[in-house]
Amino acid sequence: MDLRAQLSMSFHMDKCIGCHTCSVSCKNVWTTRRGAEYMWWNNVETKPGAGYPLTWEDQERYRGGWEVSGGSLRLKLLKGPGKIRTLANIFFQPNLPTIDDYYEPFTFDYQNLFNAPAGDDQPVARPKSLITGEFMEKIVLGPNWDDDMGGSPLYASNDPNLKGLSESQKEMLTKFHKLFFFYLPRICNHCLNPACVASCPSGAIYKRGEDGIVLIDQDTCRAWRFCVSACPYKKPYYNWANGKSEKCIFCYPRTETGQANACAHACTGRIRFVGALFYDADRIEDVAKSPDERIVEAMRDIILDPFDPRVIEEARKQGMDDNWIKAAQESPAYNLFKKWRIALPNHPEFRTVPMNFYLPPLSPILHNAKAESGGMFDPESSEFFNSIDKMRVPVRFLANMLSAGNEQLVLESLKKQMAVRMFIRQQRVGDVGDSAVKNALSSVGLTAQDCTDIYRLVSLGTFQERFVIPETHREHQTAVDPRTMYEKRGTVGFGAKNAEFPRRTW
Amino acid sequence: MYVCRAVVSARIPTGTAFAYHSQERTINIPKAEQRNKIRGGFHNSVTRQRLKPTLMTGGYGQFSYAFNGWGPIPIIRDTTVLVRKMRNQEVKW
Repeated sequence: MDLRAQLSMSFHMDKCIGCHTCSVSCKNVWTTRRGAEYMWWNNVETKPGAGYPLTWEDQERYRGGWEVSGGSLRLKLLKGPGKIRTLANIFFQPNLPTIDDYYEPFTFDYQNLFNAPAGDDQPVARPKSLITGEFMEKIVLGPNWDDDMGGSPLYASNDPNLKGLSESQKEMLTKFHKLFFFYLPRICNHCLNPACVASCPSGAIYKRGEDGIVLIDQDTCRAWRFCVSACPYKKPYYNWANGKSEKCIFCYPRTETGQANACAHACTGRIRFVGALFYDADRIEDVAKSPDERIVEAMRDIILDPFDPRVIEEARKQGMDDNWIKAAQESPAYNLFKKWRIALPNHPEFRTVPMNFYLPPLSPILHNAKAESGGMFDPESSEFFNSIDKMRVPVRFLANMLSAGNEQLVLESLKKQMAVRMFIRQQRVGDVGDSAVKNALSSVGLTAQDCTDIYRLVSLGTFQERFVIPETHREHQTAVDPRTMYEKRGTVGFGAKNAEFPRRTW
Repeated sequence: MYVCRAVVSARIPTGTAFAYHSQERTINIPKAEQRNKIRGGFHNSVTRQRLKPTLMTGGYGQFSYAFNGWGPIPIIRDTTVLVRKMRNQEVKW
């Protein structure tokens, strides 16, 4: 066992209202600089929708992430013999997103509102490009254009997750009353098998062993932009003003002192949970190589039980402080992803082993469970609980997005969420019936205590319950000798651990 | 009367259009072709109503909100929306 720690964020998509408070607080803290205007380290997308950058999930186009080829893992970007291919492509990368795939960043000419000469009508603040400084005739794209455009089929139909949906399910995108949409908040996934780290020709990117945060060393970055291409989530961004790539830093200056990330702290819907996980770094490659239908289970397997005495002993051996062990035991990430199995990773089939998790959203049940009640929720109907696969948001769509196409995992999560609702409704209102609740709980494998805990965390969770972020004890850590950083170039550079040179896979 | 841009959306049923009573007219709004030198958008509510203090006392529904009416004695706020394509696609600021 090679135990490491990871900070992980979980998102309750049922509660996200798409208000972008997270994006704006992230932008105000980190990316209001020149060259970074178009970057949204945290962004919120409307699903179905093309996303930001456009169709980022389509790896036929962008070739991000990993693939298993001949039994070994290799970057999709570099088909063919790795190093030669890197060299061949170092000045030419056809798969990079362009600024048109993100959007042309703009501001408005507010001064004109004060300084305009007298005219026929009141003055107006025209949009101005933050790249050229010229006025723009029309704004044609923004970071959540799908929402700004009211979910027009023009954009929604481009969603790569619609693959495998039936024609009638796709038709729902344009049918009033059947239409569905929800929001997908995204930050860097701080993956266990980060493609950005592996692809960097300068070795400028590293994953910290002590908290799993993936960072780009701004001194070492040589602007090759391989990270931008290789990351399937398109979360590293190239700063065109200073010629360095940048990405979400999981607000490490805040988390190191036990404070919540700027996005999570600001979230008005309280949809975000931050916690620590322990994982076994020896098994990362096996997990990343797992077949699609097994990959989420493999990811759950690699997360270690923080109550297991052997795990605790190993953590102590690694020099981990007790506050990290305690945090891992109280971790909302562990509970949501592994213990209760209601959270799922975003696109695990990209094989980067992402470490942020999502609770799939519940939605109205489509069929006429009871015609006289308008086909809406009818908790007395026996079909109420068993017709989750007929929800308005197609399970296939959620599975494409959250479980590499494994519908059973999405159904399991939705049924558990529904069971919690029934359990609490029976407690508060009492109209569901004890036997119905009992059946629901036993069929999804939750205990009454689990339901109380899930309800407590996702509905009432206080700041301290939602954000269990242990402080980093620098004073106890082996200091990294800056001279060894040079030797660590080209490896995935796991933090302060010695004798750690993971094999490069390309 | 006011002029504004229309957005086509699958979230609105076929044959329906709605307009907000107050439209942006300060930021990113060009001049309206229909209104000769006047900008699009609108800042005032189409109809306004002052609250009568005596109606604000007591426990009855003095604040009765609906899509089409507001207040204890609702004023009908129907708006006629006419959608048409601009004859000249050139934008004037």
